[in-house]
Amino acid sequence: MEPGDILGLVTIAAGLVIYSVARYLPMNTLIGFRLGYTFMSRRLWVKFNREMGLALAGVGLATIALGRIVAGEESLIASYLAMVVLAYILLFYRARKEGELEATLKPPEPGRTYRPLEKLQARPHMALLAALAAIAPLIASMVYGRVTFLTVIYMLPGVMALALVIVASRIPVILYNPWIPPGGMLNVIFEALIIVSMLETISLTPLISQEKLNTITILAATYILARFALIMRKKPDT
Amino acid sequence: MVVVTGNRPGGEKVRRAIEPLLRSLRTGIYAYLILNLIEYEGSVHGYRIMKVLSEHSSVIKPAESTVYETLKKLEKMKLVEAEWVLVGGKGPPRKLYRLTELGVAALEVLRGEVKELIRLLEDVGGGG
Repeated sequence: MEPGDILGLVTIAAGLVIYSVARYLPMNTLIGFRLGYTFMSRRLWVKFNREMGLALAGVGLATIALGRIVAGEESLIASYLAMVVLAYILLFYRARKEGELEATLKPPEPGRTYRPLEKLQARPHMALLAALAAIAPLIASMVYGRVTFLTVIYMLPGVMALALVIVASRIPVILYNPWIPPGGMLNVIFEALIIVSMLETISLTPLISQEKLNTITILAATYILARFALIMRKKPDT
Repeated sequence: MVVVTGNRPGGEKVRRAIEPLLRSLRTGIYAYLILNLIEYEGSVHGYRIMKVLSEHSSVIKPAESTVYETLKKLEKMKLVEAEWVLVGGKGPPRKLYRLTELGVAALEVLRGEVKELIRLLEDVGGGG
């Protein structure tokens, strides 16, 4: 057995399973190719989950082949991840094209009233805040210690907040989810990411004792959960 | 309007010969009609555009892809802007189009051009 064989075979098996069960898989928020575009219709949901299964099987085959060419497990894993990301990007663009077509030409729900899809108002200060949140852990690590892998992990919430500002303001439909009632959800997610980033940054500095930090974390978590709960209880005002 | 069908003698040959001409002629007309319709409706969905165009002519019925491509082109030219909405407050999301300020101004200019074209057709021939 070559190094990439197990990884490749597991990926092929996963891909084939996804392909086979796609047509029975109900739309959900946990499993599958979940994107605003694929949530638009049952047809798109099944089609792109099947395509994702095929793409994964293809990645698996390529991994087995690469295992015989590429030297070193790390290079193989890096190639594998690059192929998965590439497949996802290709599928995303395909789903976007079909989703846009469907949104433009398929008959809408009956009714003359309409509500704009929730859109995060991308004010410059939000982008700035997110950018600061992304680099704050890096600065704190450089000032009070050293940059480690943990620093990179701690930077992720800020990066995600920045991505959210950009994506949600430009292509809000990507984040469309039929199960989440509209009305401020994106703002709450944004706030949560910024708060997590701030707490992580503080934890990298000696400015506050661990005890106080724990208290602040509990308060922040309670605040965010309360806001989530309020939004989930809100009924769509049709 | 002369309808060229495949039943007339040599009809298929004529139809094939004028196909590129018809395509370029209709492309501009569809864009003009769609801009007019969006202005009239204020905010309109692509499906409604298709429906209205089909209801008003039994000959000129744009394909789905034609309407889609025309709307995309007009959006790219910043003559129309799209908004993602939930119609009737429910999903799935749909795109509604409306004219931009540039679109309103462009439509005024186009109307003048179209009037002039009609006058020219009537004077020189081909307009009936």
